[in-house]
Formats: sequence, C-alpha cells, structure tokens
Amino acid sequence: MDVEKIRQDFPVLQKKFGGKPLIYFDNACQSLRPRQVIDEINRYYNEFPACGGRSMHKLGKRVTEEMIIARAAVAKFFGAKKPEEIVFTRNTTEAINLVANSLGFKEGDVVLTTDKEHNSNLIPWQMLANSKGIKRVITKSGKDNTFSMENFQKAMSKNVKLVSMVHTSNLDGTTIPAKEIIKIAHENGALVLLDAAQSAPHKDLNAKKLDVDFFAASGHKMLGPSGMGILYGKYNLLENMTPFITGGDTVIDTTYTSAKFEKPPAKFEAGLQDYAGMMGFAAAVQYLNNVGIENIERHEIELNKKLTEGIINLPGLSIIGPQDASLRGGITSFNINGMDPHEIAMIMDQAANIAIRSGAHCVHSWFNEHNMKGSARSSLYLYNTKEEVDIFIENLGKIVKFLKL
Amino acid sequence: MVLCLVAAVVLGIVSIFSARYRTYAKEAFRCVFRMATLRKCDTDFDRKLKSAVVGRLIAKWPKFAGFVYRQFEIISWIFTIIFFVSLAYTGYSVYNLAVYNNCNGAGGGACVFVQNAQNETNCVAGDVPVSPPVYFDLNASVMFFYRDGCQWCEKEKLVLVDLSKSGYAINPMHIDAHPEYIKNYNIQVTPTFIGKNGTRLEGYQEENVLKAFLDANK
Ligand SMILES: Cc1ncc(COP(=O)(O)O)c(C=O)c1O
Repeated sequence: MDVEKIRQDFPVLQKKFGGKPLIYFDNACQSLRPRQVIDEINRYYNEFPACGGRSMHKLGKRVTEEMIIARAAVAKFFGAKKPEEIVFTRNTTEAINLVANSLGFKEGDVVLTTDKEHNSNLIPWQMLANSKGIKRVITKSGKDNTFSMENFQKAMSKNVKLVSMVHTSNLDGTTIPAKEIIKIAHENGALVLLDAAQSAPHKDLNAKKLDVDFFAASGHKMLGPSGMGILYGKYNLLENMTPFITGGDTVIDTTYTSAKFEKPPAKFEAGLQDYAGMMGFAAAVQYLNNVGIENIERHEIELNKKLTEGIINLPGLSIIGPQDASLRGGITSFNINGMDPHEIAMIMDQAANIAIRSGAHCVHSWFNEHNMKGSARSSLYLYNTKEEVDIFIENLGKIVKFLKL
Repeated sequence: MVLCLVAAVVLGIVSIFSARYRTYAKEAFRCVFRMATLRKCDTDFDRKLKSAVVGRLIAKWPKFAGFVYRQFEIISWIFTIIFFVSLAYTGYSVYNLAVYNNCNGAGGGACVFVQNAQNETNCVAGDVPVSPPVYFDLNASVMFFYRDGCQWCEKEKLVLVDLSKSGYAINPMHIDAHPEYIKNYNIQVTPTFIGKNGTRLEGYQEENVLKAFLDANK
C-alpha cells in the first residue's frame, strides 16, 4: 500500500492552510474524497443530468443504466447476494429509521442494543417505545468498554425481535464480535441490524459471510459523497417490509384509494434520487477495493499503535476503551485531566491544522451515564501517515506540558 | 468570558454586512446578555477565542501560550477595559469634531482648517471690527490669524485681552475676511501666530507661552 501515491488522489491534501498542510484525523465523522469520486459525480452532472428509472429518452435511459451499475458495485463490495438487497438512503441514520419504521414492530417486541449506541441507533427505538410500546433492553459493556458476551447472552431471549448494535463504536473504536452475536440471535429467532457506519469504511464487511439481516452504512465516511448511505437487507426481509417514506417511484400503479408497490429496493427509494451520489458511492467502493480493505485496516492499526504509544504516558491523559490500539481500529478517544476536549481540538487545529473531533460524538447517553462531558477523538484512514502522527504527538505533548493547569 | 463584550460590539457591526459573522455575533450577544444577568456565559464564544489565540501562540512561544491560557480571564478583562476606554474616546472625539471642529474638545488646541473659506471672496466684514479690541495694532510685528466660530480663537482672544494690559498687541489677520491668507501664509489651523522671520505658533497658546513669543518677536 503506497500511502504517498494514495495521497496524490486527494485534492484537499495538496492544499496548504496558513502555509501548512492539513492533518485530517476526523475520519470517523467524514472521510476526504479522492479525485476519482469527485470526477464520477461530475460525470453525472456533465454528461447525463437527468431522471433515472422513469424517462424514456437517451439521458434518462443512461441514468437508469448507471444506477444499476452503481448498485451492483456496492452490492458486490458488501457481499450481498444480489444488487436488490442494497437500498440507497441518505445516510446510516435514515437506513436505521427505515428498519425501525418498516419492520412492523408491535407492542411487546424487544429491541436489544449495546450501552454505547450513536443517537442514530438509540432515538428511533425510543420513539418506537413511545409510539408502539416496544421494549428496549440494553446490554452493558464489559471490561475496557468492550463487548461482554456474557451480558449479551443474559439479555438475549425469545422475545427479542431485533438486535440492533453498533458494529464498530465511533466512541472508542471497539468492534463487537458480530458473527457470534448474529449466530446467537438467530438461534433465538431474532433478527440483527448492524450500525456499520464505522466498520464499513475500515474492515471487511461481508453480508454473506456474516449472515447478517440488515446493516446500515454512510458513503461519506468511506470516501463517498456526502448525504449518501445504504441499507443492506436480506431480500426476503425487504420484500415483506412496508415502505417508510412513500411516494413517487415506489409504486407500479395507484388508484385514488390504493397503491401497488414496486419490489425492493425501489419501494423504499421514494422520490427523485441522488444519482450522482450513487455513482460516487460506487466509485468510492471501487477505490477501496483497489487499495484493499485489509490493507487499509492494517495501516490504520499500525498508525494507531504508534499514536497510542506516543501519548499514553502523557500526564493526565486517559484513553477511553482498551489501551491496546489494535482493539480500537483507527480510533483513539481521549481526555486530558483538567482540559476541555473542545479546547484541545481547537488548539490542535490552530497550532498545526490537525483536525480532530471533540464532544460527545452523538453518544451523549454513554457520557451522561459515565458522568463525563465528552472526549477528544482522533480517527485515522488510509491516507494518514507516520509523519502526521508524529506531529499529532508533538502538539498534544506541548498542550499537556505547557497548558495543563 | 468578558471578551464577548468586545466581540458583541465589533461583530455586531461586522455582521450587518456579512452573514458569516452573524452567528458569531449572536453568540457574543447571548454571552453578554448572560453576563449582564449575572449568569455564566453558556456559549462557546470565549473558549473559541481563547483556543484560537493559544493555538497560534503555542507553535512559537509555548510558555507564553501557557501563560495566556491560564490568565485568559484577566487578559480579557484588560482588553475589554482598553476597548471600552478607547470606544469612549472615539465617541468623545466624534462629538468634539461636530461641536468644536476638532477632535480634542474644549481642552486641547486648535481649530482644524476647513477648506470652504478658501473660495470665498471678501466677506462683508472689514479688516477691523467697528470698535477694535484693545490688543489690535495694525503695526504690531506678530500676526494673529483667526476665524469666526473657532472656539480656540475666542479663548485666545481672552488671553490677548489680558496681555494687552501689559502693553502687548498683535496684528489682526481675519481669515474669513481674507481667505487668500490661507494660501499666502500656509495656514493649517487657527489660531496661528506668525512672528518675524516667519516663526510660528500653531494652535491655542497659554498666556506665558504667548508672552514669550511676543517678547521674542518685538
Ligand atoms: C456509529 C455511528 N452510527 C451512526 C452514525 C450516523 O451516521 P450518519 O450521520 O451518516 O447518518 C455515525 C456517524 O458518526 C456513527 O459513527
């Protein structure tokens, strides 16, 4: 994996900000985009900026073809059995909401989650608890904030309709043992939805191998365009779900009083779609495929180990989750005693153009439970380098040495 | 926390022209409002400012950055006080400019020359008023340039009345009646005194200074 060559593909990495290059360590929020993806988006707008799936003219047919190609590419990347198992959404959040609103939850159905869900995999279930009377069960994490199989098995029961869990946590970078969880859930007659927002960009996520029922992911965290996501769903499950957002393009026919819905995925993709976004998403998975997702994962862990070693002994610094970087992928979430995470992030930005995230990372519930305000978080990706990690370590060291009260 | 006072004023003005600064201005105003009602500022404004400043300093002067980081509250008070003092001065100067035709008000100096007199032809007023003041002497060696409506000239005239009791006099040069003086004598402000060999005194003069000048130019 030639990082220098990869970096050449990212226009923003060639830019200087105040005379210094950008050090982008906020990849869990959004990744940067390579030229290949940007060009693909432009190709739609330059060459056939028309409606897909409905118009019979040349441009319309072209868009429909490109949509089919894009869906097939994304389906292949995620190991779907067929392209129709991929529903395009705006993001992970919308994909989870789709399942929450379409799977036909009834009073008493149990939804099982972890104790560190992103708001996107928390609030939809709170809403269903209020509106439909579903029950929610939360399994507590174990040692080092990692997944506790014991607690999960205790929480599992025949009443659980859906296990909906964050695959890789955006809070601390830990990944749950999805394969075992899915097996146990299926034995108990439950379905599994993975919030794969943080796993899809960084590790092999194969629907067939995992035998997972649903997962949700965002294109913008994996080199794709903003506002583009997917729901993967097993085809027979999607077939039996009622659409969530309805309207144009979801139906074969309507009368004044009834509608006959299309097959999936069309019945879930209401209204005019983001065709350029789909094409851009396909270009992104193509790019990741060319580099090799295992190579990316290895590179991130290697950098994260270096980063962890560089900061772990700073006085007052604590890392959320396991101290072993290899269990945290590319993510390091930390606090410095007596310092506000937002201040750390803003100072890093001003001092050396280092972009990190700070705050509760949309996992307020976990921070509230642990009486913490938030954390600063660095999250790496394929284009980050050892030199960047060195600069990060140097600047964080300065902050601790000179600013800590 | 206090810097938002400054920011609220500055950003309030800037945000009239630029939407980008409007949210910052709102944050700053909210912060001021909370301070005014004796609550802690709950927006991120002061923290953002502090981090921006410290972040810039830490690369070159890490120790100084540490000092600023720790003493930020005090430093911001100092800045705020300086800002409001200078704001008050600016307001005062604007007021003086309107009222006294100079920036320093009734305590300081001279009337800045306003060019409009230059193009006027002779005014109706003669060189010397009907009953000339006691200190007027057309043969005196020191010329006194003055204008109507110049507060400093009026003040200077009181000094001249005083000096006239000791026998001093000046040659009256009324600029409103002779706008050509401005060019001929290169007058920038009133009052201006020009003595022998073209030595000059510009602006309002205290009695002892003026007396010395008149003595030197006898
Ligand atoms: C674990 C996890 N789930 C869900 C989301 C929400 O993703 P999106 O905002 O793209 O819907 C994120 C984004 O940060 C995330 O990290």
